[in-house]
Amino acid sequence: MGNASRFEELFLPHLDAAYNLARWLVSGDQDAQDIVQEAYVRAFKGFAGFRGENPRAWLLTIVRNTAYTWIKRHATDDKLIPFDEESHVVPVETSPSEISQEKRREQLEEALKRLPTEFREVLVLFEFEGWSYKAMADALQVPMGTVMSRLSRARRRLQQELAQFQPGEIDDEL
Amino acid sequence: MNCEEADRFLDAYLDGELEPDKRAELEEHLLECAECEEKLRRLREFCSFIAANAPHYPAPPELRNKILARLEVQRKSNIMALARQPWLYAAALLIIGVAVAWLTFSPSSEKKTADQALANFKRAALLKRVCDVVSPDPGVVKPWFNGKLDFSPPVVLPGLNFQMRGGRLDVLENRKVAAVTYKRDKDLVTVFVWPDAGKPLPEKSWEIGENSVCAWHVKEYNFVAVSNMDDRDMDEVVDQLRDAVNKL
Repeated sequence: MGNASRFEELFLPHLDAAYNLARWLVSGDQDAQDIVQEAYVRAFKGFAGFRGENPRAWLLTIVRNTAYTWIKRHATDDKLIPFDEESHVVPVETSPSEISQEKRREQLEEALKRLPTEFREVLVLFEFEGWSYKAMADALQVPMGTVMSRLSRARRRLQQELAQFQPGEIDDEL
Repeated sequence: MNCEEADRFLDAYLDGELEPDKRAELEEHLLECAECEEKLRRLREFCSFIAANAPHYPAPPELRNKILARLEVQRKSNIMALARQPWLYAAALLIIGVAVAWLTFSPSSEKKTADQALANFKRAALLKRVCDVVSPDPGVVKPWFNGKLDFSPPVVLPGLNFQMRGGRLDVLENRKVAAVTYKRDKDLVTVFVWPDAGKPLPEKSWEIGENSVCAWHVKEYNFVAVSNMDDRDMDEVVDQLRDAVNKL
């Protein structure tokens, strides 16, 4: 009983972050909720193995792994297939005035959703969660160099996706 | 560092994740290359654009309760899973078994007293010092204990088939006791007597090897009798001794 309430004390405060990550990885609300629930159950079962350093990172790693299991199970989806990183890099002007702030936000969200999950993941962890490369390398179980290039590619791909909302500007650049 | 390399490291540089020597190389390149410098500026702008506009999804309010419910189920099933573990029952049985065995076989304090009395009996026979005062007369044996003990032991002659041999001092339960020895037919019986001091001996008998040992309690005195006679004869002797003490 003491263990259980301690578990809740440690991990429930990170519910928003857990849901946000799951939501970014699988995009649907219901799926994200299922994943977060599953992740909390997994965390509860594995609580004995928790060494107590960083509950948030520990939980989010479990959320991430749970989401990937879910994605693999529902893999009709081509989002895990890495895209061709040699695609042309299109810098996006991010400050033109005629597009409203609201519109830009929607566009960013839409563009993020179009990214392969692997790219979205590093963007969410780094930009929203503020994880270091090292923390991501540990959670994703890849070398630091991979994190570095993946994040870099993710940004370029995101720029490309955003550029599609701004045909005029792309024409200008090309 | 050339532009191609610089391009690879721009993100890490911007994120503050580039190792120092690479950082120095890149910074050197940036000073010379306006194009890369411009790329870095755009990247920085882009990242701050993401940071400023990143949509964040807060958890729906019902999610918390769903999780709490799942955890509750998990907690219960943990208990059930524990209850399904066969080793748990094995362990419980073992503990009960050990407890029962302990209660059954662990020497009680009376048994320890009986063992000690038997040891005294054997030692006295071996040393041929069964009696320090030798007399068939209780009237001689009883006063002999005066001054040697802090109590006056009941010394009786229980029946005509008994012959008193005499008495000696001995030690039982860490105290001085009176030991009176009789002869009955060919067998010797030594009776140890001491005041119960609030701890009366329960009536019990043991057969230990070829010896019989009996314990009982009469009139605030504890008695332990040791003999090499069999237990039926011993019971008779104990009855006679008890009656005789009761009649005092």
